[in-house]
Amino acid sequence: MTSANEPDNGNFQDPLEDYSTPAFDDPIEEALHEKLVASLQAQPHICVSADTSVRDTMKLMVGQQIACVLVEENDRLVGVFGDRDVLDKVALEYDAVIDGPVRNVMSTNPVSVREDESAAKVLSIMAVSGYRHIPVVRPDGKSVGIVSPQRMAHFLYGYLES
Amino acid sequence: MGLKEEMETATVSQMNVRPPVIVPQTSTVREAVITMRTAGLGCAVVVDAQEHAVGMFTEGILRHGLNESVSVLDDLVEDQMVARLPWVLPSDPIKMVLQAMEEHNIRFIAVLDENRNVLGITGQKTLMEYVAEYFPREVLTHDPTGSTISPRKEGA
Repeated sequence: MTSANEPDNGNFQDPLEDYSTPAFDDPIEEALHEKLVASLQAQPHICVSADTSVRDTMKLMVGQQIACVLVEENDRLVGVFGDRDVLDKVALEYDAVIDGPVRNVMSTNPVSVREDESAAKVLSIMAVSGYRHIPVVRPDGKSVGIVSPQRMAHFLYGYLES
Repeated sequence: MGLKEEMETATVSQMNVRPPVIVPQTSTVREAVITMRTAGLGCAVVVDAQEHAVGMFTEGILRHGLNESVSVLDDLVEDQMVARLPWVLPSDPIKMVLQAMEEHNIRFIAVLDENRNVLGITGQKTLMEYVAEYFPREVLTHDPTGSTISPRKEGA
C-alpha cells in the first residue's frame, strides 16, 4: 500500500490520459453519446398562461392536434397540461374544473432539460422517470420547446435507418 | 451486434410489455375512464363478448370527445374507440413497434395472440425502456430527474 505522499514507482495510470474520441459500432449509441437536446425536434410547442381556462386549453390542444401544452406564468415554465391530466383530473370532474384556470389541473414542477444537455438525458427521463413530454427551458426558466415521445422515437428511427 | 440488428431479431416478447387494460365494448366511456385511471394507463383495449380485441380507446380520443361535449362520458366505448387496432404478435421483431409508431404516429400498440386475445400493451414507454437498457452507459448514467438550476450564485 502506498500513501498519497509516497512515490508509486511509475505504476500510476492517469484515468484521464486517453483523450482519443471513442469509437462506436452503432449509430444510435454514437448519437446518444454525441448529440444534444438541441438536435432533437422540440418545435413547434404551445404555451398557455396559467390563467387560461381548461376549456380553452383543451380546445387549443384539439385544434393544434397536440397532446400536451406548456403552462407559463411571468415568462417562466410552471407546469405542463397533457392528455394524462385530462384523464386523471378533468374527465370525471368536468363541471367543476372545465371553466377554471388550467393551473388548477396542470402537473406542476415539470421535469425539464436544457438545450445544451445530452439527448440521452431525455431518453433517461422518459424511460426511468416515466415522464412523456419533456419541456426544454433556458437557464432563466423560459420554455423554448418540448420533446415528445414521438419526437424521441423519430430521432432514434432516423439513426436506426441510417 | 448493434441495436439495429438486435431490433430486427429480438422479439416483442423480450420487451417489458405492460398488462393490458381491457374493457368490454358494452362499457361506457365513463367506465373505461375509471378503469384506465385505476390502472394508470392511457389506453384500453376494447373486447367483444368472446374477449377478442375489436378496438382501442385512448386518452387522446377522450380529449377530443370532451372537447365536443361532456356527454361523451355516457356514450358506449365502442362508439368512440378506433376500430383499426394497431397490434403486434409476441413473436414479431421489436423493430415493428418502432416502425408502427413512426409511420402511424401512435403511442400504444396491443400485443395479441393469433386468436386476437389481448396479451399486453407496448409502445413508446416500453420502447424507451428497451433502448435505455440496451445502452445503459449512454442513457442510465444521466440524472432522470431533469435539470435544476440553482437560484443561488456560487460566489467566490
